[in-house]
Amino acid sequence: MPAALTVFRAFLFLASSPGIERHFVRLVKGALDWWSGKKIAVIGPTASGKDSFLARLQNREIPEVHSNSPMGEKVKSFRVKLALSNHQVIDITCKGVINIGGETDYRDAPSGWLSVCADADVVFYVMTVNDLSKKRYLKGRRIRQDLDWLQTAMPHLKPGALIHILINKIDQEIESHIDYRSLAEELAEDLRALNAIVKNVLHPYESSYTGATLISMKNKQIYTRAINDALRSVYSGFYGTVKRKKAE
Amino acid sequence: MRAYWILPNRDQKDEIYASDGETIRPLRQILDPKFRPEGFSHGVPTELLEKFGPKAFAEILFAQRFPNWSGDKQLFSVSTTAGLDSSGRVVHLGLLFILEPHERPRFELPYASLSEEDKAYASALIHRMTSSVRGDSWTQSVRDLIELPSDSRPATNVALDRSVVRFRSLYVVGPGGLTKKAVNRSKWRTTAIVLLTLFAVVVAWLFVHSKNRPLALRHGEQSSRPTVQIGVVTWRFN
Repeated sequence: MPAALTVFRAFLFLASSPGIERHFVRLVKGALDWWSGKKIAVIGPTASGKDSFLARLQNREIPEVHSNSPMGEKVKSFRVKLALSNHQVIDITCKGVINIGGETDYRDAPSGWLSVCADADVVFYVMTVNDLSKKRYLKGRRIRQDLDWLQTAMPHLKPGALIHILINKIDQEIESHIDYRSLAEELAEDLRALNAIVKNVLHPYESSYTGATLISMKNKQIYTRAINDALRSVYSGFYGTVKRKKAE
Repeated sequence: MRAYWILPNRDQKDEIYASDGETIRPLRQILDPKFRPEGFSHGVPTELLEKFGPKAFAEILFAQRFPNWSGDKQLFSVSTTAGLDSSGRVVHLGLLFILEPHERPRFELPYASLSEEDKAYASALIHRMTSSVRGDSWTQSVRDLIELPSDSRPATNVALDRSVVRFRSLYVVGPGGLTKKAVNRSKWRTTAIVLLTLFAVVVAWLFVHSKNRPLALRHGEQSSRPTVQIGVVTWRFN
């Protein structure tokens, strides 16, 4: 009984301290954030490699049974734990991920891309290196239409949600990950043009854009190299958001 | 009734195409994506393909029914796999019906204008749905969905685990393949209703009996056992 009384007195003392409420709320919120995991959304045109990316994130091989996704399907929660090259560690539990098709029909349906992206912390937009070299990000073309859609979707996404572009299928251009840098240099002009257009189209939400990464879901070496770059950019995006929030 | 083929996206185009049997046009001109019901599928869900494996792909039929989709109109669709696209992914062929209330789908849509490859799958689908092949549980599951008494809930022929929408479903995928779920469930439901009714009758009888018994005794019921009278209520001690 005296012990209970002491605990109660200590609680009253702490509760009366200035700022304790704020600390308590932050503690509880931090714990909840930690346990709730992160939600990612993977969108992009058909056959751009969305399913393969989800498989790679789960450390699975690209499935043999591979289908043109005919409806939104829930993906079982999975954990992504990766040690990045600069000693940062990505340890997130992806929850509530939905796999959806890439045809514009899915993009424009109310239960389509918007419902997939609505609660996402990170939206990965997957396109192909062919889309980049054929400049499908120019006005009236598919990638640009998707970016226009993304801009209108931004107000309905989670505050602070980040957008990252993955430019897939670079294994069609290079044989090995050793040639990655030379391809990046070769495509530098296209990449700059894409970045400029994305920032322009996403305005005033351009700060959510964390960049575009050349990747191959098929080639494991290229994937390992590229995902490191992509997640570092996303990580920096999160860190930047936290810093910005603190500054405000 | 309006019926359309939902065509396989073999060339990985940005849009899904449909045909009324004569002309081919984007599906969005027939069924605006904005008005497509939540959970509407343009083919066989991936989870069914994964559960059954490539050898059984040709057998799988996936059907959906959305009553009261637009006013009192209902939407009904049946899909089957239809080979592979240019990068080796499974593609799908579907039959979409826009039905008036209480109207049933009729599997008579022409397919002569479809591509040679699509024609083969369309013909096979129509044949399965119009002929009575014994032991084809997938076809039977689609027929049972058509006959399902009208309900406002969307329904599928087979239960899905990964759908974002909850569907009423008649069949379930088990170790032995496709098995009917609805019969067992309705049996259980009937049994539960009978048991509950019996229980209610027994409780009611006991309630009435326990009320009437003292009254009967009060009105001079003869008992060999000694009684003690308190006020108007008589209690019997054993």
